[in-house]
Amino acid sequence: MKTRAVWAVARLELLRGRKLLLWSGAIGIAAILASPVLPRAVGMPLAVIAVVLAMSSAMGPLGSLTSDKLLGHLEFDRCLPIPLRAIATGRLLGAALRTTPVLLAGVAVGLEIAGEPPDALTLAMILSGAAALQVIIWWIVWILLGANARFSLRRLWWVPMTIWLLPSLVPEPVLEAAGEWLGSVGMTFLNALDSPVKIGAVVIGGLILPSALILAGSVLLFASGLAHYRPDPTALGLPMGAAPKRELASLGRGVMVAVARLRLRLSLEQFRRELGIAAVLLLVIVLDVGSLGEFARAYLPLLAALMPGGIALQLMTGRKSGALEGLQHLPQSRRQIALGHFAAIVVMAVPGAILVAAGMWAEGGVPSMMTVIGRWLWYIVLGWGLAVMAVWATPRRILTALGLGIGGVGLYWLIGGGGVDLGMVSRVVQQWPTWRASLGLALPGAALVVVGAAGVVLFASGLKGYRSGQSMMGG
Amino acid sequence: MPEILAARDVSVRYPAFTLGPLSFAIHPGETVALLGANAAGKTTLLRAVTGRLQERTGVVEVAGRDPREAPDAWRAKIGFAGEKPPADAALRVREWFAFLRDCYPTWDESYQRDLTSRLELDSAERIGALSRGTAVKAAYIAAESYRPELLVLDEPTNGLDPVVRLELLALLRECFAQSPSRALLFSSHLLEDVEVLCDRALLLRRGQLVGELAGETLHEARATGRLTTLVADVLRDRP
Repeated sequence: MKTRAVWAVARLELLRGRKLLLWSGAIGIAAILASPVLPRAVGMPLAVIAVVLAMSSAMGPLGSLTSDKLLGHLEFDRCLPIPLRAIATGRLLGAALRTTPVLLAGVAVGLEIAGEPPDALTLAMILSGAAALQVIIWWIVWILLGANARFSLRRLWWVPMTIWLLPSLVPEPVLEAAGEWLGSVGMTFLNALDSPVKIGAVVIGGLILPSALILAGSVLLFASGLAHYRPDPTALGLPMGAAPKRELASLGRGVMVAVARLRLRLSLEQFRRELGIAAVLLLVIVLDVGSLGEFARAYLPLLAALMPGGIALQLMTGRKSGALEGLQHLPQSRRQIALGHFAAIVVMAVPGAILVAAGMWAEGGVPSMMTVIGRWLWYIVLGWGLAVMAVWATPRRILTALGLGIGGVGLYWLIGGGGVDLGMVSRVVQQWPTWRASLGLALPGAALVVVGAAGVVLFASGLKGYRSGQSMMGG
Repeated sequence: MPEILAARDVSVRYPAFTLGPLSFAIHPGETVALLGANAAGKTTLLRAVTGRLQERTGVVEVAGRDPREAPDAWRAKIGFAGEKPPADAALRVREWFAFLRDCYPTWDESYQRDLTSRLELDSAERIGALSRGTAVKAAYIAAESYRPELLVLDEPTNGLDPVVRLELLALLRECFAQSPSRALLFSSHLLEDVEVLCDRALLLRRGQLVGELAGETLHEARATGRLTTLVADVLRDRP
């Protein structure tokens, strides 16, 4: 019964993300099959799109879990007549199956990088690399699922950077000694690998043992999360405040004002704690507290970007919970509703820009007005882009947009007689700082005009087509 | 006769609301309605007695065990249905039922098919696309198809059209008339449901049990058409 239940849970997890799984798998296969036929200028973008879709499918289970936390479904799961660990195992196995397109996309990218039709050795390396990538993605997804079920990813925001910066807190001589020791152990180990059997055993052991350990740990975390679960309306990071009576009452004075007030009120509730954290980070920079300063410098711009970006989180919560229907059916122009959101983002980008400026000042610099305004404009572009995606993006629309992009590249290739230059992308990346410096505020200003205008149209269209229960990833 | 559900001094505390402490019992063969205004605490009480809500004090025993501490397989003794199936909107109803079939050892597939057909539910529909009434039907079938000893329904007739409502009430009456070892507890706003279905009604006001209608009183109130007035008076705290 337990095995049957585990597979039932895994099957359900798979069904939840089937649409994206099938699409991303199909595009991955298409990219592999097209690799020997199409030129690199078209094959590589196709492979990259396959990677993007595969990663969306792989991360889909996290979205499913967030929905379950938000809507209280975990409470039902907990009451199923099967052990919590069986439920956890089923979900993690189902999540692992949802990452399968990563393997296909990895092979597609490998074939494109190899260029010429690969020989047996190159092909073996491509397949091994893609398989290793697939296993690593399993580990990441399992750890994230376990952690998010037991705790809340929102509350663990400080963990990745802390792990990244942890070595910098260790004194230099200790680090050097540890590095030397690891190096010598590694060399001894490599010298012992003198036969294919040993190499094979090490590769398999190196993947299987950590996989088993990570799976077991994540199952325990997930099961513990189920046991301790409480319905969490803030699963997407949005605390639920008092009913927005005053904000809604201002509808009579114009929908733009009412929507902007509503979003600003929710944003202030959302980031009360984060503002406190920002103050601590600023203090750390001012006092120059050793390696903690690095931590603070890394996180301050992130917190600043979250200020306008938080409105996208509110919209995602509304989209998942069905609350977006309230906005959809307001007897007002949807473009005005979009503009109300835009206005709120414009306002919320101000504390974001001020925070970054304060960070520069705390480091002893004096930020120019141009720098602060430039950062403010970029935060508006970012926050508005995310908000529009939160309302407009559906798997079908994303795929259509990607299809149009590939079609455009293909057309360019056909018209240009195969003259698409991939180096163009790297040249744009290299030139970017120069352009930014020479164009000043014109660059973010132009980006704002384009993203702002297109965003209003897309936001209104997304709101019009919204259906309750719809999610960005189709699951 | 041993109680199928025993609740003693059950209490749930939220920052702005406290349920209980309250005590009641339900015996096998009984159909009991839980009546109360909006925000009286009906759903909270139903979640607490079925073990869904774990943060409560007091004693709850279903078939002699606390749902929070009972073994895994024992949880099949309780069925709970709310307004909609607690499942991903992208799933089809039949996929959801197939999942439950593999989880519940006592799931009766032919019974589930019979219920699906009688309630005219299209199991090929996606859960996210179900109307309110259809979602209630799907949630009910999911909770009933394994014949739990205690079936708990949270406002089962809410949002149903009159024809389907009567069909569901008839189905419930029929199911529980045939199963003297089982019990039904349901919450409702609709006194017509109480008239048609229940043996007893518990009245809940602001988190407290303020009355109970049973036996002669309920029978007399039904016969004289005074049920609505009687319930309304108790719930509004009128003498």
